Amino acid sequence: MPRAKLDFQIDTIKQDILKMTKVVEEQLRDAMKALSHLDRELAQRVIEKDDETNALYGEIKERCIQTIALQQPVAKDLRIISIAMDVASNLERVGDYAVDIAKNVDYILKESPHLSEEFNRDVLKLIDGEGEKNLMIEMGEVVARMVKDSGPAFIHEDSRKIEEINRLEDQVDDLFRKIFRRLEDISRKDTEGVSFALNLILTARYLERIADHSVNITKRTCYAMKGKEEYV
Amino acid sequence: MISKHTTDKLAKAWLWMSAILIILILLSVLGYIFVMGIGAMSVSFLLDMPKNNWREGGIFPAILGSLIVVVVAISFAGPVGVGTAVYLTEFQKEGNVSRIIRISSDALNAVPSIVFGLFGLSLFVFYLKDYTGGPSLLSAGLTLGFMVLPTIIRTSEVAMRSVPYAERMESYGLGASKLQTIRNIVLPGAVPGIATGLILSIGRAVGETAPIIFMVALNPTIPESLFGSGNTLTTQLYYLAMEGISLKVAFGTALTLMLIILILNAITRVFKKRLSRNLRRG
Amino acid sequence: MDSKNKIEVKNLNLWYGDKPALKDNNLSVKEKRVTALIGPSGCGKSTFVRCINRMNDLIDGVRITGSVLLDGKNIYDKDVDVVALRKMVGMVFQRPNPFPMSIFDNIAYGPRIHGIKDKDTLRKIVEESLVGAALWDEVSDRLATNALDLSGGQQQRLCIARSLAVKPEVILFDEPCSALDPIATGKIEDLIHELRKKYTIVIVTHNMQQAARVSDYTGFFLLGKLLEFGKTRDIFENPKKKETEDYITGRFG
Repeated sequence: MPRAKLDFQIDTIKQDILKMTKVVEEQLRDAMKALSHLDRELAQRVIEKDDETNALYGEIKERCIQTIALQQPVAKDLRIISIAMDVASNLERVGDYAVDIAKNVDYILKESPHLSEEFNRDVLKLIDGEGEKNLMIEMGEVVARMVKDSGPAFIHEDSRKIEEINRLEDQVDDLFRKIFRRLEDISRKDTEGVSFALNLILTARYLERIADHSVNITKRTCYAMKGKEEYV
Repeated sequence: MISKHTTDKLAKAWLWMSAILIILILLSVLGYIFVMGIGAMSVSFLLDMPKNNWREGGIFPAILGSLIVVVVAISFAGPVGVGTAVYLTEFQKEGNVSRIIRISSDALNAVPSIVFGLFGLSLFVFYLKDYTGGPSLLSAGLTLGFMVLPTIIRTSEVAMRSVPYAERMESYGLGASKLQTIRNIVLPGAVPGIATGLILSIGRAVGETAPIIFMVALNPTIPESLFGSGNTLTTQLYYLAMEGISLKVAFGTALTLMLIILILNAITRVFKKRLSRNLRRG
Repeated sequence: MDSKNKIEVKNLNLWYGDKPALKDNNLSVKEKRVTALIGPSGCGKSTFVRCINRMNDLIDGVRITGSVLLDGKNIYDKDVDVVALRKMVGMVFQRPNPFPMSIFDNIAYGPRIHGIKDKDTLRKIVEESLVGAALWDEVSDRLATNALDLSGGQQQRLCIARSLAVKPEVILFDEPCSALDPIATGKIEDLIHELRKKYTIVIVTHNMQQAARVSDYTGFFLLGKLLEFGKTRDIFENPKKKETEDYITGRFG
C-alpha cells in the first residue's frame, strides 16, 4: 500500500477533528443551557472544558506539521492537512466563544436584581427556555446545528452538509437582526439597563461569530475538495 | 573416494608443473640460442658488412633489410588497417557487410604463411614486377603487410570500441561532427590499443621467413633502393643454416632476432602501462 | 511572468523501429524559464528531450514525425545544420562524462571544434564558463590537471561549463543529479536557478521534489504521452488529471 503511513496520519487527523467538533458542540449547547437556566455551575464546567478543547487543537496542529515535515505531501494530501489546521483553529475559536457566553451567566445573575422588573421580564424572555420569544435560544439551536455539521462536512467532503450550513447562516443573520431590534426597543424604554442589553447583544454576537466560523470551515472544505474556494 | 581437498591439491600441483614446464622450455630455447650465438656477437658483428661469404665480418645488410621490410609492411598495413577499423566501428552498421569484412579478416589471418609467400610471389614479384622491381624489398614488405593487416584491423577495432559511447555522445552534444569526434575523441582514446597492435605486428613481420623466402636473395651488399633485393635476418638465418655456411653466424643472427623481438615485447608492455595511466578511464 | 515560447513541439511522434515511444506530443517551452519533465521510468521523457537537440538521430531505426520549432523554425527541416543546432541547444547527461583530458582542454573542446583557435579567446571562454558553472573558485589554480581527478559533483559542473562554453541559448538536463549526493545535488539546483536568468532550461528528473523546487513549469509524461502541463505550483497544489495526482502523491501502481 503506497503511502500507508501518510494515509494513517491523515485518518488520525480527521478522527481528531470529528472529536473536537463534538467537544465544541457540547460546549456550545451547555453554554446555552447554562444561560437559559442561569445555571452557574454548568457555566463553570463549560469554562473548564476549554482546556480539553485547547489540548485537542494543539494535538491536531502538531500532527499536521509533523506529517508535512516527514511525509512531504503534495496536491490534495497537502490541501487536506493544511485545511485541517484551519478547521481546528476555527473550532477552537468556537470553543472560546462558548466560554464567553458561559461567562455571561455570572454577569446576568449579578446585574439583573438591580434592574427594573419589567426590564428583566422583557429581556429574560429572550433567553428564557420557554415561551415563544426565546430568540436567543433559537439562535443558539441553529448555530449548534451548524457547528455539529461543520466537522463532518470537512471530513466527508459532504456538499449537502455544506449547502445546509450556508443556508442556516441566513437564518442566523435574520435572528441576530431580530434580537438586536428587540434589545434596542427594550433599552430605549429603560435606559438603566442599557449596559445589560449591550452585554446580551454581545452574546448574540458570539453566536453569530460561531456561525461565521462554521461557514469558514465549509469554505475551506471547498478548497480542499476542488482547489478553489467557492461553493461546490 | 578422493576428498575434495586432495583433488584440489593435485590440480594445483599439475597446473604448477605445467607452468614450470613452459618456463623451462622458454629458458632452454633462449638459453641455447644465447649460448651458441654469444660467441659471434659484438658491435662490429652488428654494424659490419659480411666478408668472405659470411665467414667473417658482420650482418649489417640483414639488419637493414629487416628494418626496411618492416617499415614497408607497417606503412601499408597501418593506415589501411586503422582505416578499416574506423570504418567498421564508426560508419558501418552491424550487418552483413561488417560480418563479411570480419570473416574475411579472420580467414586471412589463418592463411599459412608459405601460402602468403606464394601469393606474394605471384602478385608482387611476377605480375606487378614493373612496379615493384620483381623480387625486391618492396615486394617482401607488401607481402608481410598483407599478413599483419588482420591483426591491425582487429586490435584497432577493439581499441576503438573500448572508448565509451558516452564520450562520443558528449562530443556530438557539443556540436562536433562525426569526423571531429573520431579525430579528437575516439582515435586518441584508442591509441594504446592501436599502438600495441602495431608493435605486435612489427614483431611478427620481423620474425617471418616463409612469406618472403622467394623474394629475397642472399646478398652481401646493401641494396640501392626499395626495388632492389636484399635479405632479412630471417632469410639469412635460413640460408646460412641450410647451406651450412657458418653455424656460428647463423646462431648470431638468431640471437640478434630474439633480442629484437624481446625488446619489442618489452616496449609494448611499457607503452601499455604508461598510456593507460594517462588516460585512466574510470 | 509569461514569456514567449522558445521551443514549440507539435504532434511529435517517435518510433524505435516498430515500437512507438512518443505519441502525438504537444508542448511549449517558455524562454528563460525552467521547464521540468516528470513521469515514471520509461515514459519517454528522456527520449522527448533528446528530440530537441536531435540526439535521437544518432540511434539506428528511429523514425520521427511532427515538428519541433526553435525560435519559430522547425529543427527537422532538411536545410537545418545539426551542428549549429547542437551549439544552440546544449545537453548535460545523467552521468558526468569528462573527456580524459585536462580541465582546460575539456572546456575548450567545444569552442575549438567550432573553429576558435586564439589562445587568449579560449582562456577567456574557459574562465567565463567555469564561473558560470560555479566551478571557477574550486579549480582556477589547476586547470591543467586531469578532469577525471575531480569529484562527481565537480565533474558534473564541469560538464555544465563545457556546454556553456559554446554559448547555447537552451540547455537540456537529462536527470543531471541522479549520480550525485544530496550536497552536490543542491549545488546543481542552485546553479540551475542562476542559469535561468540567461538560458532556457529543460530538465528531466525522476525526483519530484526536485522538479517542484527548481522549475517554473512542469510536464507529466505517461507511456509516451504528455498528460498534463502547467505552472509548477498548479501541478503540485492542484493537478487536473487523476494520473498526475496519483503520480505526484506517490500513490502510483
